[in-house]
Amino acid sequence: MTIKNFKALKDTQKTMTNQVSLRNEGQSDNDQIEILVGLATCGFAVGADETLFSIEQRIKEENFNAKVVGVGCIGYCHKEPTIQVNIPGKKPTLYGPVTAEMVTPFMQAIMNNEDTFDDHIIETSFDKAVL
Amino acid sequence: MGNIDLSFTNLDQDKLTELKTYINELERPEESLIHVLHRAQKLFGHIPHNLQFFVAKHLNIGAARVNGVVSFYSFFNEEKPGEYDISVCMGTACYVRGADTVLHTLLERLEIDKGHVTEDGLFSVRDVRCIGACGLAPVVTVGEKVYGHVTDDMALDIIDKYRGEHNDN
Amino acid sequence: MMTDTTPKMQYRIALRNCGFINPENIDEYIAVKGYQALGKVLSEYTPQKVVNVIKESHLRGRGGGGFPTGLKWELTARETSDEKYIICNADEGDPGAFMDRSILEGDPHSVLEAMAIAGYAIGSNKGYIYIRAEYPLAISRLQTAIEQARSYGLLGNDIFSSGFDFDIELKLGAGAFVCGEETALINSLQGLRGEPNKKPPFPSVSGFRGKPTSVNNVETFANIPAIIMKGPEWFQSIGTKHSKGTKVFALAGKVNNVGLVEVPMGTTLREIIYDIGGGISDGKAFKAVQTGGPSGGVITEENLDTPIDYESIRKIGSMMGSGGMIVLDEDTDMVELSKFYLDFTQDESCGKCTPCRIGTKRLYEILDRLTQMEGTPEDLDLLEELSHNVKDSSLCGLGQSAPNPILSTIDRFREEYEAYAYRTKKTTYSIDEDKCIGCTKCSRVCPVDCITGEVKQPHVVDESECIACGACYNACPVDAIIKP
Ligand SMILES: Cc1cc2nc3c(=O)[nH]c(=O)nc-3n(C[C@H](O)[C@H](O)[C@H](O)COP(=O)(O)O)c2cc1C
Ligand code: FES
Repeated sequence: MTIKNFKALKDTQKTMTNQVSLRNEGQSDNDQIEILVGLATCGFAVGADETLFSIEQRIKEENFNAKVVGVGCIGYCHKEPTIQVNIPGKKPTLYGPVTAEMVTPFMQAIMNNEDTFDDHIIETSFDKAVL
Repeated sequence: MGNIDLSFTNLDQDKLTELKTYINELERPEESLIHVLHRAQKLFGHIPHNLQFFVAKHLNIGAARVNGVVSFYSFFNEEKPGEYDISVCMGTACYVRGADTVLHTLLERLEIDKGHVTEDGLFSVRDVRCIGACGLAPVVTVGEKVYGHVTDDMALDIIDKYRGEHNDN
Repeated sequence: MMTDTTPKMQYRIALRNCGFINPENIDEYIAVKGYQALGKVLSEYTPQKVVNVIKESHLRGRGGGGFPTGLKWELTARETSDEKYIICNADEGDPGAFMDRSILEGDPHSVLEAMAIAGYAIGSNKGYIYIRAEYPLAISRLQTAIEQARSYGLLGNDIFSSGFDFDIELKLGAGAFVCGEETALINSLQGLRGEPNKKPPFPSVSGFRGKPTSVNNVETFANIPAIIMKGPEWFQSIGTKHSKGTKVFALAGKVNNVGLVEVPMGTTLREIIYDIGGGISDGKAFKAVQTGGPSGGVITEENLDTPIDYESIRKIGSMMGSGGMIVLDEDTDMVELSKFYLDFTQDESCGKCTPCRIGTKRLYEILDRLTQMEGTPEDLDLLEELSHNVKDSSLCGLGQSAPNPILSTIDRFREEYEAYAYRTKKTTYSIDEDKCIGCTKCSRVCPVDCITGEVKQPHVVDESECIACGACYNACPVDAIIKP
C-alpha cells in the first residue's frame, strides 16, 4: 500500500484511530480489554517477553475478550515487567512488576474486575503531548 | 604481526566465500570497512590477523588500515572469546551499585585478566558500557542472557552454573 | 491501594508514543497522527518556513551541546551543493544513560519522520542513522520501521506526490565513546578510525563525504513532529526563558524509582529525585547527583532547588549533557568516582591529540595513587593544574571536558581528597560501643576473626587485622558498625 498524498494519509489515520483511542481516552466501540506490555531492553532483561506470551496463552485458553500488544519502554525500569491495562470507559492503569508466574491470577483479577493486584498499580494517568 | 597464514587455510572456507560475496556486492566498498568487519565477526566470532588480511585484500586497502580500525573499536575482538563470554556492565549506574567488585570477583575466581580467556577456553570476561538495563544494576550478561542485581555470590553461582552446563554436555 | 503516587510533573513530548504504540507496526504510528507533520510540511511549507518554525520554537540540541537546532538547519540549508546529508546521532555514549535507546525502541518512526522533515528543510535526500552496535533491539526495530515506511511510500521517491525524495540507511558503530562527537562520527561513517577533526570547518559546511551535513541527536529529532503539528508557540510556552520544551533524563544509581523521566525545563532536581524518583534507596542519605556523564560534574544538596536548564546547570558546576542522571548516596567515595570517570575517558581517548591521550592517563594515575594511599598533598595541586591544562588544550569535547568530574568533586568534596592525600583516611571498620548489643553476629561472620567481645557486651574490631570486607556491616542488626 502506498500512501499517495497528505489527504490519503489523513484518511488512513481516521480508519485507524480506534486502534489506539482506548489507550488515550478509554474510548472504544466495543468492550474488548487491551493489555500493553513494555518490551524494551530492560523489560526483556527481566522476562517481559515471557509475560506477554503467558498473557496470550491465557487469552486463548480462557477465551477472554482481550488483546495484548507489545509496546516500547514505558519508563518504569524499577517495576519491569510493566503492563498497561486499558478497559473501555476507564482510565488506563499501569501495573508492575507482573512476571510470567503472576499472569494467571493477574488475568483473573483484570477480567473479573477484582482488586487483588491493586497493590501493583504504578499510575493511572499520564500527561503527554497529544498531536 | 608474527607468522600469518596468508593462504587462509585455517579459516572456514564457506564462511570466507560468504564474506567475499558480501564484499563484492557492496555499493561503496571504500566506506564500508566497519560493516565488513561486523559481518566478519558475526561469521567467525572474532577477527584474527589473517582474517584482517583477507578483508584488506578484498577491499583493496592496506592491512594496517584494517588493523587500525579493528584495534580502535572495542566491539571487535582479535582474540577468540570463551565459550561463555561474560560481560560485566561498568556503566555509571552499575558502577555505583558495586559492579567493580563483581568484576573483580569473577576475574579472581577464573584467574584471568579483563579481556582474556581461561586456559580451558570456557570463559572470557570483559567490561562493557551501559547496556541500557540500569534499573537492574549491577548487570552481568552471558551471551544473550541478562542477570540483574548481581552480588558477588551470584557472580560465582553464574560461573558454576555454566561450568555445570558444559560438563553435562 | 489505589494511589496516584507519581505527581503530574512529567510531560511527555519526545516520549509521547513510547509505551503507547507498537513500535513494530506503522499503522499504530499513523493512528496517532504519525507522518502528518511530514505531510504538512511537504504540502504547505517551503523549506525556509520549516527552518523558521524550528527557529521560533527555540528547540536546542539534546545531544549535550544545546546548539539551536533551527540555526543548525539554516546554516546547512544556506550551503549550495549537489548533495547534502542528514545524520541522526544515535551513538549514546554516556555510560548509564538510555534515553535515545528508549526512543528508538519505542517510537522509531518519529525519528524517521523528523529526519525526512530535516532533509526537506536543508535540501537533502539522504539520511544516515549512526547507531551503537550494542543496541541490537533498537537496530532491529529501526530496520523494520524503515522497511515499513518505504512500503507505504513515506520514505523513497516522490513522497506524498510532492516531488521530494528521501531515504534513510542504518550505519553501525563499534564501541567507541568518541564517535558520539560529530566529526569523529562522520569519520567512522566513512569507514575510518573515529578520530575527531578540528572545527571549523563545521559539518554544516563540510561534513559527510565533504558535503554539507546536519548532525542531530535522537531526542532532538523526536521533538520535531510535535513542534510542526502543535506549532512553535506551544513549544515555546513550555520550559524556561532560554531553554524551551522538555528534557528526558535517565534516572539511575541510588534512587528508588530507576527509570526514564521527561520533565519540562525548569523542573528542580529535588522534584526529579524525590517526587518522581521516590528518594534515595535503602534509606540512605543523599550525597550528590551526577549529570552530564564523563563530561559533567556533581550537584549537591544546596542546589537541589535550582530550576534546571542549560544555563543554570552550568552555573552550579555541572552540565546538562545528554540526560544521564546518577544519584549518589552517603556511601559513594567521590575520589573513587572521579577515578572511575577518568578510567573511562583515558580508555576512550582516541589518541589523536597529546593533551587528552597523555593528560587523562596521568590524571588517572594521580587518582589511583591517591586511592592506594600512596599520594601526597602536592598531588592535589597537580591534579587541578593538569586538569586545567587538559581542558584548555585538547582537540575535541572529550578531552576538553574529561577533567570536569575531578574539578567538580574537588571543589565540593575537597576533604575527601585531602583524607587520601594526607593519608588520614580511615580504611577499616569499627564498632560504636553505645549501639552494640553484643549479639555476636559480626564476630561470627568476620572472615579474619578480628572482632572480639563477650555475649551481650560491646564488641571491638582489631583494626590492624581488619581487611575492610564489610561483612560485619551487613550482618549488624542495629547499625553499630562504623564504615571506613
Ligand atoms: C566526546 C563527545 C561525545 C558525544 N556523544 C554524543 C552522543 O552520544 N550522542 C549525541 O547525540 N551527541 C553526542 N555528542 C554531541 C555531538 O558532537 C553533537 O553535538 C550532537 O550530536 C548534535 O546534535 P544536537 O544538536 O541535536 O544535540 C558528543 C560530543 C562529544 C564531544
Ligand atoms: S549502567 Fe549498567 S546497564 Fe546501564
